[in-house]
Parts: sequence; C-alpha cells; structure tokens
Amino acid sequence: MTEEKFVFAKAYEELEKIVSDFESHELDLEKDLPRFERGLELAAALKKRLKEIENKVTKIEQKYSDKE
Amino acid sequence: MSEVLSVSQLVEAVNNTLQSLAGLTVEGEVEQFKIIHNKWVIFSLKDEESSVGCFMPIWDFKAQVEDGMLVRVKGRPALRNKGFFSFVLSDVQPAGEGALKRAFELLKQKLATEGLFAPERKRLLPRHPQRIALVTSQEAAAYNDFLKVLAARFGGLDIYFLHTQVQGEDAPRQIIAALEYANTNLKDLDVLVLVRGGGSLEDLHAFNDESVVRAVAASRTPTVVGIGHERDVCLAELAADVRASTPSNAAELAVRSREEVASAIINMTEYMRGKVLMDLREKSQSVDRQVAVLKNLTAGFRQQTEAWVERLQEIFGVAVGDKQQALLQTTRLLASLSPANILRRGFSITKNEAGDIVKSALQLPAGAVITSQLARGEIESTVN
Repeated sequence: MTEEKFVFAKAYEELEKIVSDFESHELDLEKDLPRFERGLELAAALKKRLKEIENKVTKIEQKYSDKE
Repeated sequence: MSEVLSVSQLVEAVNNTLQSLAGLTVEGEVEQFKIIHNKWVIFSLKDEESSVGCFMPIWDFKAQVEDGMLVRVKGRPALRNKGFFSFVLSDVQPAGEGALKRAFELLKQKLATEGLFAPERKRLLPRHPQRIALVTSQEAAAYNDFLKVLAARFGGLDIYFLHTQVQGEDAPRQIIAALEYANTNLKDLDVLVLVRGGGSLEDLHAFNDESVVRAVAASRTPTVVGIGHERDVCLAELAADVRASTPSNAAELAVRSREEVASAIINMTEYMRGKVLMDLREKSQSVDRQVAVLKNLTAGFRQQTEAWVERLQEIFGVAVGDKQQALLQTTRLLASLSPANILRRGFSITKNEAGDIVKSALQLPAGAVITSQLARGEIESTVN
C-alpha cells in the first residue's frame, strides 16, 4: 500500500467489508487469518492518515468572479 | 405655421424626450399586480398621491411580488401607441425588510410546491469525502471559519476554493457560475460547500435568489449550504442536500471528526481480534475435550484388559497349580522306583554272558561267567 495510491474511503470500505464478513460467518482460520492481517494493516494505514493535520487549499482562478 | 405631426410621430417625439429619464429608480407600493398570458407583468406603482402604470416582460421579472408590497423598480417612462403612459421596467426588487420577508415567503411557497426542498430529493454525502469545493468570498469570515473547523476535524483533504461575491447585485450570477464550474470542471468532486456569514435579509439576498436556489438544487455534486447565523434560514440551504446552520457547522457536517473515525476503526479491529481469539480458544478447548474423551476411552480399555488378565490368571492360575503338584509327586515316585536308586541301597543286578538278568541260581551251570552290576562299578565272577 503506497502512500500515493492510498484512498481513505476505499481503505475504510475494505476494512468494513472484512469486518462484516467476519460478523456473518464462522471463522475458517486458514482463510480468515490472512484477512485479519489485512484488516489490521488497513486499520494501521487509516490511523496513520488520520494524523495528517493540514488540508490542501487550491484557489480556482476563473473569470466567473469578474464583473461583466 | 408650425410642422404638423402624425399621431405616431407625436408618440415618437414624446418618447425621444422621455429617453432622458431612462434608468430611473422609483420606490412605491404595488397595486393590481397581474401576469398576462404568462408573457407580461403589469401593475400600478403608487404612493399617497400618485399612481403610475408599470409594464415589463416576464423574462425580466425575477422577484416575488404581490399587492401592497413596497418595491424598488428600474425602468424608463414611455408613451404607448394607444395613448396611455407606462413605466417600462427592467428590474423589480422588494424594498425594505417587510417586503423582502414577504417576497421570501412567496418564493419559499412556490419552490416548496415544486418539491425543491423535499426530503426525498436529499442525497447522502460520501462518508469520507476527499475532494471538496468551497464557494464563498475570500474576504468573508465564513471562509476562515469553514477551513479552520474542517482542519480541526480531518486532514489531508483537497479543497478547491472558488471565490465569489456573496452579496450585491452580481453575487447571484457569480455563485451560479461557480457552482456550474465546480460541477463541470472539478473531477471526482465529493462535496460542494456554499457558505456565507450572517447579515440582514438584504445582505443574504443572493442565497434567496430564485436562480441560485435552483442552481443549488440542480448541483450534480452533493451540496452542503450554511448561510448566516443559526436563526437565519435561506432558501439555498433548504434546497441543499445538507443544511448547515453556520459555515462552521457546514464543516462539521461535511466530514466526520478524526476521533469519531479513529474510534470506529478501533472498534472494528477489536471486533476482529476478539472473534479470532475466541475462535482460537474454542478450537483449543475442543481439542482438549477430544483428548479427554480419548483418555477416558483408553482408560476404559486398560481397565477392561486388566480385568480380563486377572480373570484369565484366575482361571489358568488354579489349573496350572494342580498339574504342577501332580507332576512333582509322579517325578518323586518315578525317582524312588529307579534301578539306580535300588542299587544305591546295596542291591546288585546279575547278568549272564548273554547279558540277560539272572533271576535264579538254577539257571547257571558251573563255570558260567556272570557279571554283577553294583551301584558303582561291576564285578565279573565264575560260578563254582
């Protein structure tokens, strides 16, 4: 998971999907342990992203704000 | 003799003279307001003493007007070719707080009837928006309030800021253009935010402008609109997907807070961890139980085997003991009957030359050689 490609909403949805899968069936550790690990990895990446404190503001310069 | 004019020339001459009065702004009360064939708006504009007929094409008419309302109109006086005088208008606006309020109510009713504010039109915002368009004035406190609260809640977001006037005559046009630009040119936009700080009803007029309200309702990107103070209600807010009470509240509604998201993430990981651990524990307990069952089973077998062995020993043990006793006695008897034992007691066995045992002296002629077997050794003798 590289920093550039990380999309918060997508990672969050993937984590939710894993959790809801866990809720809906009996675990098969053979299959589910790797998914558990994936879930922890996503959670760590999400939490890391939550530490960002600044938002990037881009001003759009357009003619619509000029008087006609 | 002066020049003779046709009637039309007279009308033209009067209108040429009146041209110098074009662009007048007049304030008065509306009377006998009518819309004719959905094409023309006509009404009388009056004060205590005078009344003037007003006329305007409906496409220039953008306000909500009714009888008794105080309005400010722009136009030019003209003599119509039917001979009556008319004030031809290019703009009508409610004048004063009372008229503005009334116009607001009228437009609100109209748009509500059209269903522009209906709850079923409201879209949900994406839960984790990444790209947010912000439409407001850079000079307004609303701009800083929104960005400050937003950054306090969530970071790493991409904000696209579109500066517009938020009050004054040109504000509606600029706001509509900004909304259109954001919807058309900003790719993958998650939320469109329109904010402005508090002000009088007149200050907030752009956000009660019919075209602006319609543009908000028509936005392809989900909208959050927060105008003025908590108590102010603007029609643009009612048309938004999410209505915020203030610019700061708009930021609160646009993104979830870090704390909220972090705690949701922790809940999810704890749930997974708990489930995996519980599963492991259950499996380990199940193995323990099975081992215990096996132990019980083998213990049972062992006891049974031991019981059998005991029983077999009982059965065979007795029989073997009896036979051993009998064998011992027989052996002793046999031993006592052995010839060697008899010889040991001093007896001897006598055999003739043929090796036959001699049982009577009469069997032996004189001179016969006999052999006597003793317990130890033999003696050869000749019979006299």
